[in-house]
Amino acid sequence: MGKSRELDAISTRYASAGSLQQLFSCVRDYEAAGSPTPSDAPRIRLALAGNYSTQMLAKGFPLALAARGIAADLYESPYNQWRIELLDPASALYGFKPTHILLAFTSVEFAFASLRNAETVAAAITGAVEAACKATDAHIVVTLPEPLADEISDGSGAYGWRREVGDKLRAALASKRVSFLDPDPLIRACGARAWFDDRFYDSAKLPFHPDRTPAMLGWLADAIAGLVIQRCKLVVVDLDDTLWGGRVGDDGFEGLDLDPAGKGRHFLRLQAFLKSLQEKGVILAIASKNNPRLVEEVFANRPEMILRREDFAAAEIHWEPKSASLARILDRLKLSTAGVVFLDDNPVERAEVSRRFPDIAVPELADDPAQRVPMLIATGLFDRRVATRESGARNRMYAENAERDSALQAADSLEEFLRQLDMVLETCAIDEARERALELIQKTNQFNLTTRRYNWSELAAIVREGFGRCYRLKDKFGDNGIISIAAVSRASASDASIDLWLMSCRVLGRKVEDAIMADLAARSRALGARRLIGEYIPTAKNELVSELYPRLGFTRLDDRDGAVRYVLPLDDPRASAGVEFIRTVHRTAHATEVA
Amino acid sequence: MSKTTILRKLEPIFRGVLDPDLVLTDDLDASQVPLWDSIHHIVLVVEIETKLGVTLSTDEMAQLNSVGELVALLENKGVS
Repeated sequence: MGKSRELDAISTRYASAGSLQQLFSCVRDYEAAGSPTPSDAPRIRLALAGNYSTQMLAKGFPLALAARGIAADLYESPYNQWRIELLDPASALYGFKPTHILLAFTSVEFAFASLRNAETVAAAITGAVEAACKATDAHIVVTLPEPLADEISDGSGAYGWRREVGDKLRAALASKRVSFLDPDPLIRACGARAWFDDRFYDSAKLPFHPDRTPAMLGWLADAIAGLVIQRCKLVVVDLDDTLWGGRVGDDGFEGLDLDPAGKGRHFLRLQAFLKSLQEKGVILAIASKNNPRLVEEVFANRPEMILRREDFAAAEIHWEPKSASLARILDRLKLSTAGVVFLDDNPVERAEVSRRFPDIAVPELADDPAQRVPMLIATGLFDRRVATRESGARNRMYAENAERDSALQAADSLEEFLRQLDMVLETCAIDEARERALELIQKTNQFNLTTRRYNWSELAAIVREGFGRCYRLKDKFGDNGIISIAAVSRASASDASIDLWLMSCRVLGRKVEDAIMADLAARSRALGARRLIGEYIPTAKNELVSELYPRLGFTRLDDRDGAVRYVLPLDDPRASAGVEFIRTVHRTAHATEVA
Repeated sequence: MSKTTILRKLEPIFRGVLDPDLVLTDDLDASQVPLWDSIHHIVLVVEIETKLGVTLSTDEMAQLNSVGELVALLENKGVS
C-alpha cells in the first residue's frame, strides 16, 4: 500500500518533469523506493536499440512504464549496435528474450554517417526487423527517422527521403507484430527550436536537446503501453436521451433535440466524440429499446446527426433486456468482453448490463448531458495515452462496478435482478398530479393504449364515475418520477373500462405494467365491477403495446370503432395479485405528489 | 571574489544533479564524484546553461573536466 502511494507520488512528479535533471531526480527517488510497480501490473521485457545514444531513455524507461501501469525489465543494446544485434541470432538482445523491441532511430546518423539514402535505410531496417521477427515473437516498435531542423523550418514538406523510408517500411513489414511511430507530431508539439541542438549530437550522440528527453520518453512509453494495456475496442451505445435528446417513439424523429445552439449540442458532442473514436479504430454498436423503423427514420431524416447508420457495426433495437443485446452484439462481432464500453443514460439498464457482464466497462452518464463527454474522457477508458491518474480512476471505476456487481451477484435471472431493484410503486389520485398527467397525455406515443389527448375537463368527466390514477416508481437508484397514468370509466353496472393508460418506456421490462394492472383490477373490483375492459387503438407509434392486454391475461372481446377490445374477469383473484417484488403504496398526500 | 560567487552559484546545481551533500571546491573533478559520468555531465551542462544563462560550445562541453576549469570558463563568459 505504502509502495503504491510512493509510486503515485513519484509518477505525479515524473508526469510534469520538463527537464533531464527533473526526470533523473524522479528516477533516483524511484530507484531509492525499490523501483515499485503497480500490483498485478502486466510485466514486459523491453529491449531498446537504436542508432543514437539511448542511455538517458533507458534510465527513465522503468519509471515511465511503471507510471503507466506496466512492470518492465529492460535491456539496452550498446550504442548503434541495432543492426548487428538483430541480425545475429545469438546476440545478447535475443538472449534477453524480449517481449517488446523498441528501435529508436535518428535521421542524423542515417543521413550523414551511414546509409545516406531512403533505399539503403529502408533495406537495412527491413532486413533487421525481418530477422527479429524470425528470431523472436516479440512485438517490434520502430520509430521512423525524424524530419531535421532545416526541413521543418523550410515548411515545404521536404521530407522526401524520410517519407520514402516510411512508405517502404510499411509496405515491406506489414505485420501485426511491427508498428511504426512517426515522431513528426511530437517534434512539432515541442517546437523545432526547442527540439534540435546539434551540439548534443556531437558531445553525447543525442539527436535532440537533452531536456526533451522526458517528452521523447513519454511518447515512446505511451506507444509501448498502448500495445500492452487493453484499450477500448467496442462502444455499445443507447439511443434515446443518450445519442439524441428525447425519445423517438414519443417525440418522433422531427421532435428530437439535436439543436447545435441549445441542449442538443451536448448530444452532438457525444456523437462527435464517438465518431472520433471510430476513426481511431473503435467499433460502434447500438443497443436500444426502441422501434427499429422509427430509429431508421432518425438516421434518414435528421441530417444534423454526426453518426450515420453505417457507422454502427451492429444494432440491437427491440424491447428485450440490454444484456441480451450485448450478448448478441459480442457474438455477432466475435469479440470478448475485454475493452467493451456500454453507454446508457438509464442507471437501471447500466446495472442490468453490469450484472451480466462484470468485465464490461459501464461508465456513469450524468443526467445533465453537458457533463457527459468530459466525464467519459476523465474515466481514461478511451485514452490511447495511458497515464497514472487516469488508470487509477479507471481502476476505481472497475472497483465501484465490482461493488455494484457484488450487490447483484446472487442474481442469475432477470427476475432476481428486478427483485434487487427494491421497486416501490406509489399511486395517487390523478388530480393530485394534474400537470404531469396532462403532459404525459400529450407526449406519450409508444406505451399508450388509446392515445386519447384529453384536456382536463374531458379527463375529469371520464373518471367521475370511475377513477384516475398516477403512478410514481422509485427504486434503489432513485426516483423515476410519475411514469404512468390510467383513467378507468364505469361502462355499465358490471363493467369498468380502461379508457386511457399510458406509461413511460423508460421503465419498460420491469414488470411495472403488471403491477399497475393489478392495482387497476383491485380498484375496479372495489367499485363493484365484475369485468375490466381494455381497449387498444392502433396508431403509427404504439405497436409496442398491441399485445399487452393478452399478455396481462385479458381475452379478446371484439373490435369496435377502430379499437380492439379485451376483457378480464375480476372474480379471478389472480387479476389483482400484483407483482411480488414491486411494493405498491397508496398515497393521499397532496402537495408532495405534484411532479 | 568573482570566482567565489561563481562557485556559490554552481554549488546548488551540482548538488541537485550529483549529490545533495557535495561541497564544491576548485579542484574537484569527475573522478572524485561517483555519479559524475558522461550522462550526468550532460545534465550538468544543460542545468548550467539554463540556470546561469550561458551557452557552451561543443568543444567547451567536452573540455570541462574539473570545477576549476568550469569556473574559469564561466568567468571568461562574463558570469559573475
